[in-house]
Amino acid sequence: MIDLVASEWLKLRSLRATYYVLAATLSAVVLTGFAAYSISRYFDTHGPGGDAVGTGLGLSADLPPVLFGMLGVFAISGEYTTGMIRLTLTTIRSRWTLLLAKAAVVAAMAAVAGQALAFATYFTAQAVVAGRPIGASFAEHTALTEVLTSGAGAAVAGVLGLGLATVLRSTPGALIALVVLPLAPTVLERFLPAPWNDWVSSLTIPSLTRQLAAVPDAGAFGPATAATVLVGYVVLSLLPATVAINHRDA
Amino acid sequence: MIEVTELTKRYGSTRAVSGLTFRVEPGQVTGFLGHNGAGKSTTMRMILGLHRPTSGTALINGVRKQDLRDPMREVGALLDAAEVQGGRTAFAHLQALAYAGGIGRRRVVEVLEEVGLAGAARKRIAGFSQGMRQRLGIAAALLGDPGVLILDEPVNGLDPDGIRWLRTLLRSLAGEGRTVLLSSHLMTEMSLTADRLIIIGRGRLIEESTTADLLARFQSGVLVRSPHAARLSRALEAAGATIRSAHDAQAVEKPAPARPTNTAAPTHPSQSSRLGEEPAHARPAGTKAATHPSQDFRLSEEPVPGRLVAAGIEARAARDAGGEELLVTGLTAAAIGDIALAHGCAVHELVPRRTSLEEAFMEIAK
Repeated sequence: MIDLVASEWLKLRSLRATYYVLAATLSAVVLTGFAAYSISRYFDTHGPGGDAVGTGLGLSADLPPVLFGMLGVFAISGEYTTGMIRLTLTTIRSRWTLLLAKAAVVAAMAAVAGQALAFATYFTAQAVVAGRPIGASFAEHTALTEVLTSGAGAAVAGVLGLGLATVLRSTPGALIALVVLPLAPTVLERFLPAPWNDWVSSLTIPSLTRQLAAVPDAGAFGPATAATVLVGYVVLSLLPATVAINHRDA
Repeated sequence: MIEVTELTKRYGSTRAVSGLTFRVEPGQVTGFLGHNGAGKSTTMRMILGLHRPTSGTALINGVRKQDLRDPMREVGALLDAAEVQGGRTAFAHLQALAYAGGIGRRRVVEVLEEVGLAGAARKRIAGFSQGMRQRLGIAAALLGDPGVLILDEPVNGLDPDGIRWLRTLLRSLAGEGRTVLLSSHLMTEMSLTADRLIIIGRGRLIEESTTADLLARFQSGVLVRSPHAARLSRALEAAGATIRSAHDAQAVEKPAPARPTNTAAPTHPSQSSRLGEEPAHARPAGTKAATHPSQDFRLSEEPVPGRLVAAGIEARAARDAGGEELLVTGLTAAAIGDIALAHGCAVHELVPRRTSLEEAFMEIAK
């Protein structure tokens, strides 16, 4: 298993798509900077009463899960589209271990990169806010935890993308699913009666990571429920993918 | 050792492989022959545990591929050299595969040198030619130094040098006691590389025999040229042989003028086809290799083109010099030579005439 993880780690590192995705996550930092700047301007001209920047993470929260999901997609979809999966499968004993090794390296890379991104986003937002009382200091309740749970959200998103790509075996298919799925709760929320709308909108990954950090008014669930749902996403992604990779002809 | 027993694969209503049974023994190169779509690749994928058989078993060293304890060290495979991710360097590609089997960096360097890609190790695979990809695929198959090698169409895209290199490599691997199974639709190449042949058509086993046996079975007479043809004919007929004038025989057997006859074969310009090399652009899509009109498929013990050209010139000189050609069936070349000597007949040419393996294959696979 350690051998397989080493192998998959090298594969992920030597994939160009990996670097494209990681570079693209910087867009979240840029976006947050712009948003924080415009909120700060509003504060300067209108005084308090407008939106707060807070940690800044919420301003671009929808981007990282999609991008880290793509990291997971590319970790296997390239093998399916080129056919290299066949060569890979001839070298290993059991197929599910391959999936597990891929999940491990994707989750690890996404967690580290997601965490770094969260800190970068936070510090960018605070730098733009520059001492106005609309930011969030780490001394404040939940500010640090909100940043620290972002890595977990990124890891879950990565595994989700991996699972989707394994089941669909197609890069475009997985990418479309990855963009549409996170939108679903936002759309459904409008049609559902309370408290269902609240519950459904609390199921998105950015919302769950905030609930995990016990950020006030982040959603309908507490940290324990949020953690359970996130783990549930991992299981729900990997189970069908394991069945698919084990039983399908390659 | 590879054992395939009653192997069947159905995709929906089509039977890709049906009731296939054969063994691939260690210490030999075994050729797996069949037209495109005959079921070669499907069979190989089932042996490698990539496709699940509808019924029957395919075993490597007595167990199914998925039950091998250390798959990379027991079996190496080349399925399709194009199936690689081009963004990686050759080294990273092989190293990633090697890690999965707990194989170290030194072995990666070793196989890269063995296949002649050491200089391109740090280049992206996307820029590789088809021949380089084929070498990379072979390197991947060799990584674990496995006892069983399964190669699907390994000569595709290799240049004549590459084909000769691969042939030598495969023969030496088999010589070390390994099991080598390689598929091809190029019969001539197979006759030079493989000790045994397994021929399939429409997913069924057609023939399993040694290359020598198969060739012997399709030997069709001995071509004799002699200035004393009339006297020799009588003597040979007395010994039980059937004689035809070679020209008549050719006229009957080879009505197509574009097709090189056996006697004319050595002078044919497309000598490179002896090496199994076949330029893809010269072959219209869907045309079987065996029907390619410009190819010379006559088998020869001596594949060196220069010698063949020389032999061709000699043969033409002999023909120009006169002497009648006889096509003798029912006696071996050795017996004919002895009879000629006993009757004091000079013999200028004595050539066992074989049906080419391509022709034999076409006949078998009908």
